[in-house]
Amino acid sequence: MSHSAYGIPITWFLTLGAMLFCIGLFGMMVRRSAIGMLLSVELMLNAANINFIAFGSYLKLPTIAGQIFAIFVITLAAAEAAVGLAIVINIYRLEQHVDVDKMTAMKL
Amino acid sequence: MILFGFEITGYQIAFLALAGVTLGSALMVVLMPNILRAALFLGLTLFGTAGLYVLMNAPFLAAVQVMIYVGAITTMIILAIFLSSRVMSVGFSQAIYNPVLAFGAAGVMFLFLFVTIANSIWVKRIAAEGPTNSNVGVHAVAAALLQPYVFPFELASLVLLAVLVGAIVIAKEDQPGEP
Amino acid sequence: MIEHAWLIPLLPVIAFGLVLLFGRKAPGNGAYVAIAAICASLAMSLAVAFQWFLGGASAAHNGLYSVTIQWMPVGSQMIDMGFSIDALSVVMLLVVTIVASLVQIYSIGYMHGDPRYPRYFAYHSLFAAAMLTLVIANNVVLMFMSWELVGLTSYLLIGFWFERPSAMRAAKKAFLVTRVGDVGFLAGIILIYLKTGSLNLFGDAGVFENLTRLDVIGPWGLPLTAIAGLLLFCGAVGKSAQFPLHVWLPDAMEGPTPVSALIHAATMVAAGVYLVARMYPVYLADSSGMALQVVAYVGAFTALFAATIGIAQNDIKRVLAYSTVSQLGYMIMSLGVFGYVAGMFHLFTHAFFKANLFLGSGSVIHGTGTQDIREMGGLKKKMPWTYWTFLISTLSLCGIPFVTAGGWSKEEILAVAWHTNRVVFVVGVLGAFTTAFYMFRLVYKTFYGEPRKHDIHAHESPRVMLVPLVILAFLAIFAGYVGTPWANVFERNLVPVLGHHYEQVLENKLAGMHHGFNLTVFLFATGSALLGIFMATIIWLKPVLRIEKLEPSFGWLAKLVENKYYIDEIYQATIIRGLMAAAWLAFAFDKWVIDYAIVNGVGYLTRLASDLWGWFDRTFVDGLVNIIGWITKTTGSALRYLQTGVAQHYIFLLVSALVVISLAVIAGHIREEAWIPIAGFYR
Repeated sequence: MSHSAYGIPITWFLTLGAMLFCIGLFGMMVRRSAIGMLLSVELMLNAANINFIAFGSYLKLPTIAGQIFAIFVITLAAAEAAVGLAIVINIYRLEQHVDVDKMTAMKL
Repeated sequence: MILFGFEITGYQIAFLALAGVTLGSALMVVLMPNILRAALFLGLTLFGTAGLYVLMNAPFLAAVQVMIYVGAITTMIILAIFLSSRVMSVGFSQAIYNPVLAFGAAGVMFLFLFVTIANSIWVKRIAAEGPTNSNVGVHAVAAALLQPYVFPFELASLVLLAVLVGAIVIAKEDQPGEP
Repeated sequence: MIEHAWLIPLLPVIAFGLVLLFGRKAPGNGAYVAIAAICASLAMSLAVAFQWFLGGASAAHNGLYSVTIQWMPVGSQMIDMGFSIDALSVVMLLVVTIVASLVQIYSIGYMHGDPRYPRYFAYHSLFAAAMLTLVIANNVVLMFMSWELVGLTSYLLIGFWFERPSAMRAAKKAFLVTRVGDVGFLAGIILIYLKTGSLNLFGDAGVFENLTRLDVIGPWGLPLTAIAGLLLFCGAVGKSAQFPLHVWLPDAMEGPTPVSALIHAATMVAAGVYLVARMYPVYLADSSGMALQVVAYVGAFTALFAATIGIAQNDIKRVLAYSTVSQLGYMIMSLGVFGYVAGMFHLFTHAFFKANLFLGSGSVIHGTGTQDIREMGGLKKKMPWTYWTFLISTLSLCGIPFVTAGGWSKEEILAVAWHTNRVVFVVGVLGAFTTAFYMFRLVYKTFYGEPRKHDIHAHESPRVMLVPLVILAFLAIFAGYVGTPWANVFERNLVPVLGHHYEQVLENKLAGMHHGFNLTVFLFATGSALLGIFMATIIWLKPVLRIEKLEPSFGWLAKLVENKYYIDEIYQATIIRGLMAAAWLAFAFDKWVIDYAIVNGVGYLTRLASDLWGWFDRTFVDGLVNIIGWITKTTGSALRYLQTGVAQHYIFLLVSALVVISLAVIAGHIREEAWIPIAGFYR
């Protein structure tokens, strides 16, 4: 295995993505506020994006698919954020807080 | 370049620096009791990620990341935080919920992912030492979006339109007399 | 016009639909619609008649115009429908449309204020349509269909005042009794179809051209032609109320009087006569002559028999009903003695004067409110128009020579009978005498003397009822001049209808008959009629002969006649009782053998089997289902504690489950040696 000018194997990026994803996952579980959970979701989406672009770039056959996929993910992340924040604002207006663990209307 | 007995390239240094920034600010995002500060650290994380994109020969994506994520989404989240202003003034214990169990679950997940990555053989189709596609610019992205991916592209626009309308409808204050 | 003759029955059909649907809103409560239709039919019939007889169409079409279209396929056979115009059809068209239109106009006055006024006219239109179809049909199936349709309308109109139980019973009786004859008619059609292979009357493949195929010996040593003729005659006996199926017609007088005039005097009951006349080649083809003999004797017997009953009846309409039966007997009798033309001629004249008599009686009933002639009397002055028209028609019925239509036709019948069958002739003369006798009894009791019941305030009927009376009285006099012995236009046109071959047969049968005026017959006919009038006069007008004095010696006879020879009672005792007994037997068999033994037995076994199966179902199948349900329910109530409502818990569970599943899946795929060089990949 010869060293290229970069010298960065793909596993570095993948490990970074896994770390970022697990941090996001952790945030999902610990954050009480709905906005905090949304932030964590963004972290996880970024982790996924890093993986997409890494694979797209490291393939021996040149491809653009990874980047295109990342663009769609960003688009949908924007959409998710918009709707999620709209819901958050609505909840805040109704209950004066956005703590998810207090929203137990769905509890049996 | 030799550092602490390891031969190290400039790219590797850049990667390590960017990774440090990204992961550190990401930890701040999930641990900051003040949600506003957490959101600002999210912006930093996204900046770091954009740098990583550049490192992966994806400059256009880096620009998109900065413009949309940092410029639009983070701004929108901060705006939402301002609108629900009371959530800013809380302590750590009120902001964090059952951290030990969560850390256990996330840690096991990471271990699982790490073992999987480390034990996979990436040599078949993957270049070992760095990105292969050196010439992926705006042209290539544009051509791909409008030729083979035109249908998902149009679908995405439709989704955005629906989201626009949906967000307005959800966030709008109910006027008395309206259904 | 002849090509469009199918429109003649179609217009009343349309009127029927319109009046039935929109009768209450139509002009004149629907009456004008119906009358307009029948008058249009009348106009078309007149046009057809002029074109046929005077316009030379008869010669142009060689005596028969017939159009056939395909109607319905039955298996590989195609049943046709179509119409034919010949002299017979044209005569019948004229009779039906003239009488029907006059009777419908008369009905405006008679039925005024009836709650079901539009329906009455709708039924009348339907009757006219069916009757007109019957007379122009060139196909036995179409004939049979319209034959049954006129029977249906007869039923509907007899039972028009169905609130009266007697009307209901009479309608039922008429329908059922004629049905007995219709079975014979249908059987005759089937026999003819089986042998000739055709249902169409005319044409090379038609019935009449292939009658020789029927000329084989069948059961009882009779040729099949005779059997077919007798079966067809059964239909005529039912419809034309000949003995022994005459019992329905007097009861049918329960219907409104114009109905009696149109259906039960002039047209529908004459359909039987028309049927025999239309099928006359079948009778002429009968080499044994048996069928016509039966026709002649049945007709002659009915003619005299019904006339004697007429003497003792006190209901004005019943007298006329028995008179109708008697006159129909005359026509049938005439056909039986080869008086083909004479029979049809009598049908023609009789339609007018008998319709007039019925309408006159309707006028009397309208004016007095009663039907019993014992309560009438002295109506001559109060109802002059009714009286004079009634008298003219009575004279016509009695057969007064030269001046009345009935005179010509009756004399012609007797002339033919004189030539071919003297027994029938004698019966005919006796019938003529009796007819004159009872008719003048009726006239004297109704119109002469003093009113016997003083609370009756008789009044003349409205003009709309009198105009038809006058027109019919006119026809009762002048309709006969088409068939005088010196210039018999009727005969000249009607005989060719039979076709060349059967025309010859008929001529051979009547060979040697004195054509023209027959003095002997004239004297017998006129003498008997005048004698009858004389006898009636000395008994009821100037009571020289006291009827009370005859009572002891003739009382039993009077009672017998008054009770119509107990025919109804005999039917009641024999046929109806027998049918009831048979029905009871069948019922008992049904109840004990079929119901109890078979049906209930099968039912019991079925129930037993299903009880067993139901037990199995409840115990095992349901048990299994319940166990599954119990398991699901228990598991669910245990798992519901996981539903905390806290989103973080859900995420935690999700991650844990993902980790567990992934580890389980991937554990098998991780190679042992791969665990060692981790450091090598990260260097």
